[in-house]
Amino acid sequence: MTERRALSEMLSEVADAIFDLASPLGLRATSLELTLPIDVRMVRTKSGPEFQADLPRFITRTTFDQPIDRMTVRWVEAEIQ
Amino acid sequence: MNPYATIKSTSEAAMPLESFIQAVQAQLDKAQTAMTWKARNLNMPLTFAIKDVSLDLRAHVEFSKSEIRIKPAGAADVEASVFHLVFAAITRPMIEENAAAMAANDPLDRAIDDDGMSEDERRQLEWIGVRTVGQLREAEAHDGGKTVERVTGLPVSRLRAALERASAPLLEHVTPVENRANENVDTALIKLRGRNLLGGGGKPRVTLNGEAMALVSASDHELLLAPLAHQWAGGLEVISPHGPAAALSFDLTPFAPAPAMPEAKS
Repeated sequence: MTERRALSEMLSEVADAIFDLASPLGLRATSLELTLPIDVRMVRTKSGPEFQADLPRFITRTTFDQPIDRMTVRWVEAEIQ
Repeated sequence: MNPYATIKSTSEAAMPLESFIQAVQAQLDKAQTAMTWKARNLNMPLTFAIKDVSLDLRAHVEFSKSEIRIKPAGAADVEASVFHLVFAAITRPMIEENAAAMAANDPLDRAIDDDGMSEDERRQLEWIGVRTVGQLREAEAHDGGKTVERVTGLPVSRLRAALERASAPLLEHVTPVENRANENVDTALIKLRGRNLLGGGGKPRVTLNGEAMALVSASDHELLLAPLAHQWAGGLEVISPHGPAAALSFDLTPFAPAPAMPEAKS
């Protein structure tokens, strides 16, 4: 995997994991907070700039790699409107 | 050419903070929509909503042409600042509350665009909440534009020049309309759309090829004219009582009512 994903794709995938967590009987997650290291970049697309943020591809960083940024996301349970 | 070209880490790659925020916001909206649709498809009564997202980005912050621009830090760029951004979900009433402050009070008011002000000057006005011609007029009326001059550094003469330009009559388009006031007579009217047509007060004088045209009704954005049989094409001029005039040429001959047929003698 060499391409970074858009932030929405990465968040949706993490959210899927939350749905799976909430599934077992007797267990209900009502909120979740994650702090993730992320690789960030902006790319130009036909519809405008796209913010790409994905988990770092490598554990080892070299001086040729961009510094890792950090993101904290909080999800809470909500009714569907 | 690769449409997904990365925005390079050069000074040209610095992007306006506003564009950056919009790009992040678009991604958060997408993620939220995907989660809601998934829950809906699985018939789940609840979903998870993103409450807030905070980002710590290593970036360089620049100030250029009255605009805050950010540039992502490059490799081994230890001098970069840490840019801390927090995006929090807000409710619909909160959106409406904020949008109301941004919107113009007068629906006919328009944004300051082609009024002889540079993008830089317009942005300086935006900082103090002056986005429309109406708001600019209000700021000028308040104390002759002195406060605006002090806060933004824009000379009063620039504001007045922009206001004069914005207040000049402008003719946009001419269309034929039915004369509904008198259904028995086969007549038609001409509707003239534009702005500042009253030029700050009083009815304007309208001429076609130098000859006066009858004015049925007048508002700042619309004039209703009753043309004579030969007044369906030519050079139209609207002269406001205070001087400024605007001109437009048109040809609506195909819409002119057919001339009345003479009655046959018995």
